[in-house]
Amino acid sequence: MSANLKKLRPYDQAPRTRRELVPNAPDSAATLWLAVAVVWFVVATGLGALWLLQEIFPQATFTWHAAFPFNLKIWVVLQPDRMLAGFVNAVVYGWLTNAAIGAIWFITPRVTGRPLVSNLGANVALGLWNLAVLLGLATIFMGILPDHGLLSEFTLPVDALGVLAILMVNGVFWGSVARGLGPSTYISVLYFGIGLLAFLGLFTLNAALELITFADPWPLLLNDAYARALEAYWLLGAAVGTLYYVVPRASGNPLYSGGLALLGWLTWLVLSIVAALAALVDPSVPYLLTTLGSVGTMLLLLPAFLVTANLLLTLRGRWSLLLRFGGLSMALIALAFLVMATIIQAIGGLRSVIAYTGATEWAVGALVYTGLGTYTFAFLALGAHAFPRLLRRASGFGSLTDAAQWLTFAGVAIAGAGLMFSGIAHGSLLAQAAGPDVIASTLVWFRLGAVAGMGLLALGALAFLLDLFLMYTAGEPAVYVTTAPPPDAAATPATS
Amino acid sequence: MTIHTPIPSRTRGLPAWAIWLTVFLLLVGGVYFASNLSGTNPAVARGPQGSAAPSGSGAVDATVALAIIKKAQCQACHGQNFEGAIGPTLHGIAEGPVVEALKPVAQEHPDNWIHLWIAGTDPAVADIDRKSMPKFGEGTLTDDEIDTIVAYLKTLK
Repeated sequence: MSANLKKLRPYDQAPRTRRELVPNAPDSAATLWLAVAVVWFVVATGLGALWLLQEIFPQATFTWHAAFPFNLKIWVVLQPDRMLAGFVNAVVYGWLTNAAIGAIWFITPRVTGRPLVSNLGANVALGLWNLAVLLGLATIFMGILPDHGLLSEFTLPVDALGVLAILMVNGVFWGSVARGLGPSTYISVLYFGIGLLAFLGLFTLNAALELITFADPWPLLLNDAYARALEAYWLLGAAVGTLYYVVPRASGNPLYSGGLALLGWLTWLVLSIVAALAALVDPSVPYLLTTLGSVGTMLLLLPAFLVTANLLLTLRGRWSLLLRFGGLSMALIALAFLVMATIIQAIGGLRSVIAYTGATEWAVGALVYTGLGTYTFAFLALGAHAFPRLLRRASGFGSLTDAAQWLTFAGVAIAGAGLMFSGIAHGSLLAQAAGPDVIASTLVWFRLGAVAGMGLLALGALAFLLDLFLMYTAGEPAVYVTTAPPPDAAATPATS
Repeated sequence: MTIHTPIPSRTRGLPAWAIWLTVFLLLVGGVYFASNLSGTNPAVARGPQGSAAPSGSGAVDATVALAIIKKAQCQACHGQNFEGAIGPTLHGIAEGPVVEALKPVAQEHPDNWIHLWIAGTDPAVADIDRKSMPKFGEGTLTDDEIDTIVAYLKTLK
């Protein structure tokens, strides 16, 4: 027998293993979805900063066109309204959705004790979803989409791709948890389950509505209602489910009250669909319906207070942990933003406020506080806890992690405040029928503040991405031993 | 192997303060609902970014015009605030054209030269080089829409 000299390897080198095209290892789905989410965080905040710069310097419009065979022409114009739509869609569909699904893949197996039914399926869904979002953004910048509100309706093929991805995500989730559902199911799984089903239903419905022609202003009304329902069910649900994992796990304490968690969940479930009706402000809509919507929006304060109280009481005896930067401090910031943003949205759900601020950037400021405040810090808190365990590295990278957290917090606070005050001033000027020149010169200072905030936020996002990269490439290897929370005389064993 | 790390809770019960808070907030919501049962929602015009504009604010006509301008993508060439970019500025065109080539048309048709130029279908403007500006009268915009745009552009100083 003759040996192939090229295939012989020294005895002390391990044999080469074939890499899979689509990873299927345990926790690969969580790692990939969360890593992609951090990249989208940088992209989305960058788009936000560019949008605000264009509002201040309107001449900074970028145009690119190209002609291809078969009379195919592509015309890309980066003007403020398209940058705004790109920013909002990148935040919601890019950063927050990827982070939420990554959180679900990390948390669900750990609280249920059942592995994901298919990491391969979850990773294929990652590719499909992000392809859909990229194509959707391309159609925004090419001006193909009709103007139907901040959260865009993509073209049907792109929507179909998105629906397929969300369907796969639901399939993997429900395939993993269905058999284990029961009275002892942890509260996070309940939030994730409803959130995923709502995401699938709402996204599919929004896509299907494209096939029907509605008279003005119904396309805009329905899109606004869709955006509110999606935010309340999907983003808020996933963020709260994440916080319910991070706070007890990072503090080492048991959850304060399972009953309180369930009450918060039930009130959230009922009030979120009612709150979406507040967007339907039009004479053709029965007054009673929009009043119900306003009440629902205001009453969302109830689940917000219950969740915050439950998690703060969970921290009893471990308050010193908040003095250090990390998952817990970011979770606390998320809770603070949750209460504040819910109050802002309760005010913003009133008819008079919608009429006053609707054509202004006030709604974008509210989005910054909810999307880039509450939900972002909830998922960053999970990232601080999960990434070291997924990558098997020591957590954080010294002052870079601290800088990232401070920059993000300061950026959100300043940008959100700048946009909301700008919106209030803008609404006042519109009510006085002021011309575009007067509006632009009055609002420039508010917008400068918002640009500064958004710039800090983009830097913070970049710092997080860099921290993650350095943790992976140069971080100290670490092994995390999972321990149960310390025994407590009042704790009930093995419950939700 | 999946490591099962269940999270226990201190208690399954519901604190009394939570029940009272729930009842109180539901009552407040109920009172607000009961005091806003009848009425009519305001007529809210939708602006260029798809959001509501206040009615009766004087901005409604501008909002409608801007929506049509957005559809025609005028700002892609004339700038976000019509200050000029690839195309010339549109400020001050109520006084007359800013482009030399259009001055003869403005002299011949002082009342509707802007409409004729935007539509691009009239023989009066047929020989003037449009430099890639589309002829919006060829199915893109109706006459009423062009009139709305003209009325708005004339307000730009």
